[in-house]
Amino acid sequence: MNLAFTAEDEAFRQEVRGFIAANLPPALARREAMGFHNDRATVTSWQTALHRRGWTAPGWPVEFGGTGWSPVQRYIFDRECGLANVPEICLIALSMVGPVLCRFGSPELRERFLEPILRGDYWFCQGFSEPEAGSDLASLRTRAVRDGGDWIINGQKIWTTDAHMADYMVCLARTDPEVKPQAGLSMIIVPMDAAGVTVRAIETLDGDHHVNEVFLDNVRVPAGNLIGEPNSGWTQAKFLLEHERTHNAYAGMLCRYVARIPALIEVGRANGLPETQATEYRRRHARLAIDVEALEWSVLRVLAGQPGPALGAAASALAVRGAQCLLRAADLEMAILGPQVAPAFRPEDGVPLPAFAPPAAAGRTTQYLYWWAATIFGGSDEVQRTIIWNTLYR
Amino acid sequence: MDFTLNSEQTMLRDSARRYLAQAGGASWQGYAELGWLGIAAPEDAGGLGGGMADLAILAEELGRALAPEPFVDGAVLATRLVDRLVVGHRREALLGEMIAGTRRLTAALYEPGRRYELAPQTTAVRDGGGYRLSGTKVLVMDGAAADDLLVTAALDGGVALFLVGREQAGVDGRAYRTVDRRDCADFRLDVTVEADRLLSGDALDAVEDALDEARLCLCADMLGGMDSAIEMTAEYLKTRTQFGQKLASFQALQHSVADLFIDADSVRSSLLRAIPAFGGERAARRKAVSACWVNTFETAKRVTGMAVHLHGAIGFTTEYRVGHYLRRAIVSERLFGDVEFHLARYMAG
Repeated sequence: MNLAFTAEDEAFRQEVRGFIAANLPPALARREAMGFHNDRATVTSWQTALHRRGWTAPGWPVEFGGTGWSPVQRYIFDRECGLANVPEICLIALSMVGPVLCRFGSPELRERFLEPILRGDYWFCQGFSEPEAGSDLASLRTRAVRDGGDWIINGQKIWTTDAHMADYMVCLARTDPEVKPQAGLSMIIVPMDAAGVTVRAIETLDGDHHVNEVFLDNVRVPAGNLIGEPNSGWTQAKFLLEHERTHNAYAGMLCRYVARIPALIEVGRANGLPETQATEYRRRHARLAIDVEALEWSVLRVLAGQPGPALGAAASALAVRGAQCLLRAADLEMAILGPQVAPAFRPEDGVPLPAFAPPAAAGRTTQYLYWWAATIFGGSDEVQRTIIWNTLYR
Repeated sequence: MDFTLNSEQTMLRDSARRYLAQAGGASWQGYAELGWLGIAAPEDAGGLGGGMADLAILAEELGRALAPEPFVDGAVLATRLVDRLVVGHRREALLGEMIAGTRRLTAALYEPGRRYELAPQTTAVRDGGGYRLSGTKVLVMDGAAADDLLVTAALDGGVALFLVGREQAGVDGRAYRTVDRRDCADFRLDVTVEADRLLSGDALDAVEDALDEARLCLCADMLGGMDSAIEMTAEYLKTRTQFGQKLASFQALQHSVADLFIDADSVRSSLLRAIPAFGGERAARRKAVSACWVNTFETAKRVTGMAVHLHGAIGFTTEYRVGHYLRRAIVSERLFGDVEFHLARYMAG
C-alpha cells in the first residue's frame, strides 16, 4: 500500500497548471464557471492547444493518441481542469466513441475517425436512449436493416446530448429482432447530415440547450459504418459506459465548488447575509469539503483498481455520491446568494443579470437545476443501487 | 499510488480475521502472543514498527469483531506516548512489558465539565523531591485494569505528562462500563509521585500526535463494524421470509442496503486519504484525521442504526449482534472528540 503522491505527481500537477494558465482563454473559463454548456466555436482554441500538447484523449491507448498517464495523473489532470474552470470538450467523441473505436473498430474506421476526433474536427453525439428505452436500454426499438452494401435505419432517439452540433451519431440499433433484446443490437456511425436525420431541440429545466430528439427516417449508411461485428452492440455499449466510470462523480467540478464557496460567502456578506447564517454556511461548506475529499479518493481507488464486480459497485457508489454532492454544493451556493438567484439569466438571449445581483450569481440556478439531471443520466441512481445490490449482496 | 495490501498486510488482515472469529477478541494475552501489542512500538524497543496503514488494518478487524479489549487505548495511544516521551533504558523496559502484555498503560486525558479540552485543570505542584498531582480524570478506558495511568497535568504553564501507578495511594478510581460494555474508570487524584514520573513538561503536541493515531484507528475500527453490520443485514434479508417471499426480493430493502454501502465506502476513502497524511506536516494531518472522524461517525450512526432497522425487532435485542455496532458507534465517537469537535477542528485547520 502506498497512498501518497510522489514528487513526480506534484511536478505533473505544476505542469498541468502551467499549461492551463497559458492556454485557457479567460472568457471561456468565465463562461464555464457560470455553468452554461459551450458550443463548438467557443472551445476550439482550447481543444487545439490540448491537441498540440497531445493531451486531448487521456483515456485512449497510447498507440492511438492517448496520453499514457497513470491513474493518478489522470486524476490530477481532471482535478486541475475542474479547479481552473476548464470546459468539457466533446465528451462523447473523446471519452466514449474514441475508446470504442480503439477497442472494436476496423482499421478503416480508426483511420477515418480517430485523428479528426483528436483534432476536434468531428464531434459525436450518442444515440442510445429512446422514448421507450431510458433506464431499460435493451428495450430500444430503432431498427437497422441490411440493404445491399448499406444499413437502413429507422427510429427515434431522445436526450441526445450535443446532437445539434455533432457531425456524427454513434447509434445503437436493433439489427436482429429475433434474438433476446441484448443480443440483437449493433453500434453504427451515422452522419448527422445524412438524408432522413432530423434534430429537434429539447428545452430543459436548467434553461440551457444541450439535449435533443433525433428522428431517423430511412437513413442509409454504408455497411462499413457498423463498429465491429454485427449484433455485438451491447458489449460495446457496456464497454463505452464503463470506460469513463469515474466521470459521473464530477470530482473536478466538486473541487471547483469547494474552492469557490468561501469567497461566495463573502460576496453574500457584502450583500446583506447575516453573520449567523454565514457561520452556518461555512459549516455546510466544511461538511461538503470533507465528503468531496473522500469522493476524490474514491475516484482514485476506482481509477487504480483492478476490474471486477467490487470495482463496478464502487463506480456506481461514486455516481450516486457525486450527484448528491453536486446538488448540495449548488444548493449551498443558491442559499448563500438568496434572492439574487431568482431572476432568469441567459446572456446569449439578451437576458442580462439584474443590477442588484453580483456577477457571482450568474448561472447558479442553471447549474443547480442541471445537477438533478446527474441523478438520472448515465444510469439513474436507482439503477446504480440495483447494480450495487446485485454485484455485492444478491 | 497503490491501494493493494502488501503480502504482510494481507497476512495481518487474514490472520486477525481468522483468530477473532475463532477465539473472540477478549484476551489481552492473546493479542500479545499475536504480536499486536507491538505493532505500534518501534523495532529498537522490540516492537514491529508498523505504520498507520498496518494499525488501521488491524483496528478494522477488531471493530468488525466487536473486540472488547482496549487495543486503541493501550497498544496505540499509550504505546505511542511512551515511545515519544519516555527516554533511555526506561523506555525500552516499559515498551517491552507493554508489548509482552504484562503491563497495561492507558491515558487519562479528559476531565469533568471540559468535554474534549486537552489543557488540563489537574495541577502538578513540586512537592519535596517529586510532584503532587490534584484533579479529576474521566472516561479513562481500561482504567480499572491498567497498571499505570498516563496523566496530563498543568505544570509551569505547560501541559506535563506523568506516569502514575493506578494502585498508588491517592489514586481514587471508580470503575464502570460504557454503553457498549467496555471497561473504563474515573479517577480522583491527590497523589504525590517521584520526580522521575514526570515524562515531559511539554507534552501537548505529543499527546495530539498520539491521539491522531488513536483516532484514525478508531475510525478504522468503526469502518470494520459498519462493513460487518451491512453484510449481516444483507444475509438476514436473504434468509427472512415475510409476505410469502424473501425480504431480499423487495427493491426498497435492496436499495436501502446499497445506500449503506455507498456511505460506508465513502468512509473507506476518508480513511485511505488520512493514512498518508501521517507522513506529512502536522496541520494537514490534523485536518485529514478530523475529516475522517466527521465522515466516519456521522455515517456510522446512520449505517449501524439502519442495520438494526432493516433487521426488524430482532435487531433491537441485545442478544443479537448487529445492534452492538450501533452502541459501539455511539461510544467510540465520544472517546477522542465527537463529530462537532472534529468539524470545528477541521474548519480551524
